[in-house]
Amino acid sequence: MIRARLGIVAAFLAAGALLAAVVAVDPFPHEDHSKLFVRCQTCHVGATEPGKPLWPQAVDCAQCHDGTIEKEVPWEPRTGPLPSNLRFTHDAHRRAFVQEQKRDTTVTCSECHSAPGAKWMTVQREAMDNCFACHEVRTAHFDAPPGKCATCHVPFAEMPSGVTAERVATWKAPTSHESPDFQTEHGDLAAPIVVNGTSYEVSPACATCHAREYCVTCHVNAPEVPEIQALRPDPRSLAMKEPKIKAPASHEAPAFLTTHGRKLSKKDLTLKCGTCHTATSCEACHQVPPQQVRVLAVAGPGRGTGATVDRKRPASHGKDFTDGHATLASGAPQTCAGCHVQEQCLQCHRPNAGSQGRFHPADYIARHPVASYSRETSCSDCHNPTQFCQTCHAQNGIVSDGRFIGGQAAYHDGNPTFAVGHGPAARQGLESCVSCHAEKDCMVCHASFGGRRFNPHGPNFPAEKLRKANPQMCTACHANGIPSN
Amino acid sequence: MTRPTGCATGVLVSLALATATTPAAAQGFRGSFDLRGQSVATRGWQLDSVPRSDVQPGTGGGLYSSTGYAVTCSSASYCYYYAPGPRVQYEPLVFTTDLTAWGLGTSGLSAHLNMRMNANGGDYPLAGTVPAFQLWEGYARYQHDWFMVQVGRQTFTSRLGFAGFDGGRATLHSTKLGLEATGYVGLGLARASAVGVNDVATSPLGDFIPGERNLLAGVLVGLNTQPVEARVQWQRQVDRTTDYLMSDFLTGSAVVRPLPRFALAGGLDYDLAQGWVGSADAEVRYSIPRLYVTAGYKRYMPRFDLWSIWPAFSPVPWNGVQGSVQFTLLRWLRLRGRVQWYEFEDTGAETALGSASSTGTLWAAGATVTVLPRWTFDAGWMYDKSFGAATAGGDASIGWTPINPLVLRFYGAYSNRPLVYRYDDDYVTWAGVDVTLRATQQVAVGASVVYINQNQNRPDASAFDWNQTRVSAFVTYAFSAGGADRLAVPDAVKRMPSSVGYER
Repeated sequence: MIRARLGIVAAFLAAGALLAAVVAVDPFPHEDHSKLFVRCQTCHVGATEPGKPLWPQAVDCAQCHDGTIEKEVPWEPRTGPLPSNLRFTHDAHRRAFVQEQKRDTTVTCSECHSAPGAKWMTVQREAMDNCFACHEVRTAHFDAPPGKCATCHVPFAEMPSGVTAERVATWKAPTSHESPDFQTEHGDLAAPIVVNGTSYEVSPACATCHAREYCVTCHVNAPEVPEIQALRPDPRSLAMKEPKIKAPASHEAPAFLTTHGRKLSKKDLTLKCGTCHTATSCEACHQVPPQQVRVLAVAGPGRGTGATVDRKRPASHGKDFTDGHATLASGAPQTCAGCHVQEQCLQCHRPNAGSQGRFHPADYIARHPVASYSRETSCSDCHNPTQFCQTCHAQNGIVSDGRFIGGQAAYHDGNPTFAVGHGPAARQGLESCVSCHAEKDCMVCHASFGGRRFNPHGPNFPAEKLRKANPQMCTACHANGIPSN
Repeated sequence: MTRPTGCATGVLVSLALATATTPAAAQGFRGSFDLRGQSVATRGWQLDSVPRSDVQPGTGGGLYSSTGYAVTCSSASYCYYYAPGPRVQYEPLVFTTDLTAWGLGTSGLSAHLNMRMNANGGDYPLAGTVPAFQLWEGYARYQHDWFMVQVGRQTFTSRLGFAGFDGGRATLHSTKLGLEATGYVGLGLARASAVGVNDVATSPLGDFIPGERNLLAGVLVGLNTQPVEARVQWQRQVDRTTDYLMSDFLTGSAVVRPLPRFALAGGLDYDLAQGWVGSADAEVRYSIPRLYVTAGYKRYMPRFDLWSIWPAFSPVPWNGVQGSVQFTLLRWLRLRGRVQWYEFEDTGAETALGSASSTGTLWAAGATVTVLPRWTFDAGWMYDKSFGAATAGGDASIGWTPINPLVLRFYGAYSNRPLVYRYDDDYVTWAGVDVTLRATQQVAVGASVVYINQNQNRPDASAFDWNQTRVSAFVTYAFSAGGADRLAVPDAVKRMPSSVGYER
């Protein structure tokens, strides 16, 4: 089905090329001369006698059109064949026709140049239906099977130089090329074919209208595709309108961005991804491209430049993603590693003091108390709680010197009883407390040895487990008197 | 203070020797140099006191000094208050080198380096810039089809965060089966630091610190398939001086994609040392071309190493629910919204003299407009309330790309930040502009200027206005032996409307 459509397309394209190559309207009023000439060869002797001119000479016309018998007419006979992509000479065609049909030489011009039943000298350049009737093309011109194109047409690169790039530019694309499937399936249509015992390394349906350069405009993997290499180069093919390439439908799938690298075989990579993508295009996103990407080509001579990858963030990476990416990153680091290298993680997780915050909004210095109280994010993932918080607080006078009941309580002047009622706040926001207070500040009261013996342990305190894990912690407050339970 | 740690120096020397003694020089390398600096100032507080005889009741009923400061009198003879402190100027300059080299004479062998040199002007070194030389990563890696070995200073990324250590790491993996197993062991670095937990830089208040760097070891087993990616990890830290545990965690995390548009992600930490569940989260993500929705649960439990006494104070976790939505209403209009509500578990410490709100909420909404090809307009609003503070405000930005390699971003915002435990209601407005120019594929430069107007509102003499202009600039140069010498993040990403996370 698709192959047939390609045949149609190719035939239509060829016809377009042919029509563009000749004068569309017969400049000679054949029918007005129908009673004067009884043989076509009177004027077109070259049609049956090789080496003789196909067109009448001006002097022949002047026998009547001398200004006296008939008015003079300007006439300059064409020399040589019309430049076109037709595989045709009158003599060869006539001989082949005679041989094939096993007929004598009575084949007439009208069999090709007139419609069946037409009056004498009602002629046209060629009657396409007659061509098809003889050549067993039982479809419209552009519906012809791919193998049939080569019957009448030479490959693109074998066209005479008279078929200029400008003329090629006027060729119209067959409608089949607009098919949604054409972009992804035209490779199958170009596959090698055998027609009447003749092998074609690339389908004549493609080779009739295209040369290698045209394929290379898109195909990064052109050197690896035998069908493209089977096409001879011809820069005139670049005169055609550049194809409009769209990303395949698969690329629009929601999970494509995060799953496109999975289960790709080397063959898939080379012949599918590698059609449009260079290894370089992968690097648009992948900071360290996966190992299998190495089979993809690098752009260079004989290859297309490849699809331009519009690097974009996955849907998950919205404005708030920085606050909540830890869950994904810890569960699926391989997915992250598709685009990121650890050095990028370090850029935030090991903050650079020389720059304003990347992760935090501007003037976070003024806004950070609420975040540190609520621990919207885990501060200590990026900041050493003592090295970072205590250092800055100390330099700005927000630091305890151990006189909690004395001077330091004045800092918490928003709550008059904070000094004696700070327990709930301390258990909820202990990380905040540590940003200004050292352990000895608390041990002034919360120690059973040298302190005021206020018990700091909350509900369900795992005393025994902690004692086994690290009794040194217990010793700090209990000295040698660590309770046994 | 500009001194490399002994171990860092050793690693550097090892890398240098490894490179120098290979039969052939590195045949491939990729790296970058990055220089950044900024000028920023802060103004904090300064403790002061007055004799109790000098204070008197104010109109609101509290006690005030004769100079107008609200005071706290908890001592018999003196009352205390915090007056506005002096201006503190910071001017850090950071030079970062990132380098990866391969082709060192053995196929699969590569060397990696990430380090920073910090210099400081101004009054103090900015937090995090001491020591001056910081080696974040410096390791050699040997990669084979089914295993990988990595030796040197490195960072292991997992659900437990970024664990830095000097040591070795080995991974076995089967691409066909989608399985991997990793083991690692070494001398640990302090959390989010390039130095050990025993370094004075990680204990500026001079409190308890271990005598030696801890021993870090862990094992991770992972499954990588299309519908399921999962990890199970065990990680332990040991105090080498006492041989006691510093932490001992078992974690699990997974991302499951049961249907094309759905993803389920979640994880959980279990504290083996204390015998309780730590942080956990679970989230459903749904995506269609114009809509992206998430809904989930989150539990947050702070992690304190056991060499400190903080675990004895029984910090409590919070449990919350959260959701977000991104909706592309029109091709050029994207809306977003986000909400979170959480509640702390019972502290067991409420008394008549002290209680705290146990809940917190966050609301945020915004819109991005890209109706003009080279312009991006964005506006957002958020309200974030916790038990000790709140923030409410909005911000807006205009991104403009007049020519392809040049990106400008103008922005401004307003924010109100009341505190609960300190008498302080802070209003801040700011406006600024960022300029980024990718001069070539290898070189990017940028600068930022922002003016900040801050009003520290209080009903006493401690109220002050605090205005300043902050300036920063950077230059990055990327280089390589092949064709991959491009900057790490192409400017195309920065121009994207949703990339504010990169821009800010």
